[in-house]
Amino acid sequence: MDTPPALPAAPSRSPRRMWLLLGMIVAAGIVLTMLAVGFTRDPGLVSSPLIGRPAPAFSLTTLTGGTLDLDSLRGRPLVVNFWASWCLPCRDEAPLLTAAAVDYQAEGLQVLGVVYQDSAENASAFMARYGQTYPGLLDPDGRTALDYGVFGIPETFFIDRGGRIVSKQTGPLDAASLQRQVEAIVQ
Amino acid sequence: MTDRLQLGRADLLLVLVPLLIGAALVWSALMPRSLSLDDRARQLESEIRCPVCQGLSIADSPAVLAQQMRDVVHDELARGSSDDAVRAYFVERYGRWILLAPSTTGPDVALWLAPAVIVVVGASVVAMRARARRGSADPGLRPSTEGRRGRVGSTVVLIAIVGAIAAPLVVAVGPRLAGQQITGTAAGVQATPSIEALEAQVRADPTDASALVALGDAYLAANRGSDAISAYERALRADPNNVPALLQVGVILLSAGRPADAGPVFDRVLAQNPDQPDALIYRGLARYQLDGRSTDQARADVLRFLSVAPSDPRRAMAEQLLAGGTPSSSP
Repeated sequence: MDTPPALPAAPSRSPRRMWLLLGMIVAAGIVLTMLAVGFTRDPGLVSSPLIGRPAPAFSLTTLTGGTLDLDSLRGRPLVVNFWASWCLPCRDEAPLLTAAAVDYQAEGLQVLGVVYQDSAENASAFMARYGQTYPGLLDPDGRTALDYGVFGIPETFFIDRGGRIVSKQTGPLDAASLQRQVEAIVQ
Repeated sequence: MTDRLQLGRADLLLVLVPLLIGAALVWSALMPRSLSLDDRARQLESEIRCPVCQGLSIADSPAVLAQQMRDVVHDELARGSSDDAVRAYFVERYGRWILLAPSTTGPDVALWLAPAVIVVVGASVVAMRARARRGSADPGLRPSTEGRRGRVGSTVVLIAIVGAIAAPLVVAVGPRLAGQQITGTAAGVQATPSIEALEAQVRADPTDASALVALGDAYLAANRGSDAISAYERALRADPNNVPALLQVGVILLSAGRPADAGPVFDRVLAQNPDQPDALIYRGLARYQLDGRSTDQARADVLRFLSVAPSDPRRAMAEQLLAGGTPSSSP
């Protein structure tokens, strides 16, 4: 412990500087790594605590005037898509969701579209234009969107036969991401 | 003697004042709060983050989503939920991120402790340096030992400080992407319709009536009324029976004090769908405005509106019209 420094000729000055320099490099390295990681992340992307949890229940009016209760669909795999006619990516998504509803009919898949901050008229016109055949649901006070922790649309929840949210897509679906997440809930 | 006495009084004040302030703070913290529902709602709203804004609470945000969240806060409190239950409702759905201030329990504590840790570590550095300087003046202490201890010490301290800053930041940022299957990008998420994107859509297909209507709505939201009108007119040229465009044009005419022109526009909607509630209430309003008094036709429209849309927020306006009063709210 009390052995003299390796270089007795030089005073303790330069090794001490070296230690300090090393410390500063390590510190700068930590800070730069954090900044590098931090800036590549979008602050808008936040995890959903709902994944793995039971899907929040809802009972909503459909665009055709009926009522749809989520509980009535227990035992079926569900895709719950939040959308609006003013949402551009929703236009690309709509045909994909319609196709999935047809392709996975044998597996009992039910696709639901919850209208987010939009009027029934605009939503109906949109569904007619894009040929959506699955139910459109009205959520006038936004409570269902809040129950699902929706930030912006499109957002899509994939719910298994046990009523558990398996995954969530923030932003538009493409054919591959839709198929992957549907496959996970239909089995 | 007098000098010493005065000094004693000043000392007493120095001790008493902070003590009194501290006692007052403890007392106010321990007193049972009898806050009204509105006070509690306001307090909670200032703590909850607006998900579609940048660093705004839902109390400060004009966004539709923030308004809906304020409604939930009010409804839950009115139903007898505790403040913690309301916070928990949002945290269960949006994560801890939804609270503007980190919580005082769980891993968030690191964020609160970090400043104290940094102050303590910094003070220790200053103290160690001061002692080292005094020590080197003392011939009894060997400089070589002191030097090594100093340099190892300062490196450890430097890393400790960076760690104290880094740890809470990791706590704050780290759990964001854990345990989720978000595969899209946030760039595709829209909180509000983008005028630029809709304009591009319309340029690509000038006959896309629903895009033109969406563009008109976006202009209207941005207070660009005349642009909105021309977008709706273009939508109607592309699709003369477009219900959303007809409704918007009718409402704009009605707001501009032109009920005689608005009426026929709503007629065109009702010719397609005789139970369209917006057209019913607004044609009723137009007819009331035209005649100044209640007419059978106007009453029929409003009554039909009430029967097809019993829970519509415009119910109050409809009832006021039927009662013969002038409506306080125009579309």
